[in-house]
Amino acid sequence: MRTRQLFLVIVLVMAVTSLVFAGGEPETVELDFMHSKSHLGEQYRGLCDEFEKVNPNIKVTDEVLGGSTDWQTILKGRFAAGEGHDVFNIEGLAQYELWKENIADLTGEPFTKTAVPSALAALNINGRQYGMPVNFEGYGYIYNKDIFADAGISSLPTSHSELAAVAQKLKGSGYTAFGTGYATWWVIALHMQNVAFAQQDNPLQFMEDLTSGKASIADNKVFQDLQDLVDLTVEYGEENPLTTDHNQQIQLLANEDVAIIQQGVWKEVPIFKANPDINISLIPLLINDDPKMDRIPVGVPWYFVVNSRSTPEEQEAGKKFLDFMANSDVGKRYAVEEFGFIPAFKGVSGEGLGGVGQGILAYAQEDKTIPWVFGQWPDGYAQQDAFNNLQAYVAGKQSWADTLEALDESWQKRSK
Amino acid sequence: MDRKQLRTVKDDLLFIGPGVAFFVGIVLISFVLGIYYSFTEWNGVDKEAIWIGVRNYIEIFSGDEQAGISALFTARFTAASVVIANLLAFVLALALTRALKTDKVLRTIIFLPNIIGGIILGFIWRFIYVNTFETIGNLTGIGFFELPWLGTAETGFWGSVIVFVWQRTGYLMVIYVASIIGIKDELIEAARIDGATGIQLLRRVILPLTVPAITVCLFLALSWTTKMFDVIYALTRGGPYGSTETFAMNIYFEAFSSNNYGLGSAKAIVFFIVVGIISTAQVLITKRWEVEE
Repeated sequence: MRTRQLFLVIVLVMAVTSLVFAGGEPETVELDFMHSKSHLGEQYRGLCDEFEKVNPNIKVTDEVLGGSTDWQTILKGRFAAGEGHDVFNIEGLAQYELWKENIADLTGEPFTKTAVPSALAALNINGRQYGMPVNFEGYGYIYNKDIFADAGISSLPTSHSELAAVAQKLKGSGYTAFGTGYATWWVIALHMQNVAFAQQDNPLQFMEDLTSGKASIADNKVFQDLQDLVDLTVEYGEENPLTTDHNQQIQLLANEDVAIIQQGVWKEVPIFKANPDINISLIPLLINDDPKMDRIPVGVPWYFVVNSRSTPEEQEAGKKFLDFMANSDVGKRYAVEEFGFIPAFKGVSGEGLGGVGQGILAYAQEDKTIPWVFGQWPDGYAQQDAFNNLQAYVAGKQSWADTLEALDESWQKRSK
Repeated sequence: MDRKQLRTVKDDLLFIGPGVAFFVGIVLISFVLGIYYSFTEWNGVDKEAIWIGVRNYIEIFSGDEQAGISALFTARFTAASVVIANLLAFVLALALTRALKTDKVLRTIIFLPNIIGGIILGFIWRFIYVNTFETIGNLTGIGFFELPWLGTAETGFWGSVIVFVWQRTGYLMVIYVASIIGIKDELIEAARIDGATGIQLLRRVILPLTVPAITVCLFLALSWTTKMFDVIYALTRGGPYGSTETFAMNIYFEAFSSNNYGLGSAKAIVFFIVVGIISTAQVLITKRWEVEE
């Protein structure tokens, strides 16, 4: 009996110890990488494979959390379970504030010297750099050039009145002008609203005044004029604006059922996948007839950050990965050709870009851009309150004045 | 304790130990933590949650309009779904206990929707409402299919009810079938001999003897509808304009979308108390209707 028990104990101890040390050679670093580009899952895996080729002691596990999923909640869950990724992405300053206890200082890393300075700005806090820009992105009204030509539209609109005329011409030629996509919150409550904020004379000051009570959305001319744009898209848009989401917008555009969708450069890859021959470019969201409306919102939507709670080896591997993405030839090629990114790094040519990317670059080169400021909005303002109220207006349940008032109320309540 | 009692205790512990351990670890401890967080202000990420006392509870009842809208929607959804699902399940159970040849097959078919997971179900039905109905409407011109399904509060409400009833009626029906089959044939025969008509048979014999099943089914249906989250989340995500947001979804958005974990936890505790009261009341009331043979 005794020898049997002793034998059992020894075997158990061996089994447990071998399990504990079964992670492979101690030199292999496992890098957990997360990104939110749900339509670039395969392409990012390709990039990870390339990285592993030149770094044989690093194994990259990539995970996509984004698109229509509630990725922020999933990410929080992972961190709460102690499984936070080593490299992950966040959306800018407001999310930095949320995650800062888990974000490592990246000051002095190679990418800080090769990035376009304006791209680094949002995560440069007190002189220290905390994130690496993924790319520049822009959005607006993606339009089908062939349909425009067919409807006899010879010049692109640069004011609201011209846009209304375009919509009428499209309808006259038997086309549905807009694929609104107002079932998706970030189409109407984030990107469209951002244009109204960014077109203020001083957007940052405007937001501060909103918080302190010195300014209000209801009294603001740009917001009042926004009603015309919403009405125009609904009047000349697809039948059920509140049930069309961002994926259906792609279908509608690719099948040439609509001429215009409000989307951004990130949709180029799925659009061309659905219809490789489509001819598209971009025009701005034209709220009123002020000439400064003719500007495209360009910003850095995503920053990669390194988990400050990962082991030093994992953080080193993460920083190497960031450098690879930004500065290696493979990384630069992937950015433009595989991902369709507008590069946030100097010395990368935009030649491989599609029509939308080229359009945005053209506006950027003429300095006709406005910033993305929704990173500074209070939590829940856009996704919950603004979305519900804007949808209620589109459904005819409340007036525009009531909608603007509700936005003010929400801002006040949530910015405390 | 003498040796025999000690052995019994050891045996008992061996059998119920793992179950109790899981319950305490997963359910009880989480619940207590939830109560703790309901008195704090926390964004879900920071290392520390700040204690703020009962402020969250006060806020639920004073300033939260959307919570009120969600509560009302949940109440209406519960009322409609529980009644319709149970009525339909009972009628189907009556119909499928007539010793027809196709009884068992039909019962299986009606039960099948239960197996489909909530999120997938929501997405499938979303496709049906938004795409398929629209196509049918265009082809046939029938008004029912031309409505903007899921685009208005009313279509969103009834759309959700339809999906719930479609999914869960089979489960309830199976319980009712078991109960009806369990009624002794002699009772039915005796009633018929006494000249009972179909309706009288139903009212005086079948219904009273199936009350235990009604207790169970009402309880189940109430439990499913009050806590409804996954199906409606996938179907409408609470839209349009928050009109189909169930209370469970409101809690979820509060805690994770608005980064207000403390307030979300407080709402969850309040929700627990309300649902607990309703469920207990329901069971107590229906238990009183039960009849001994």
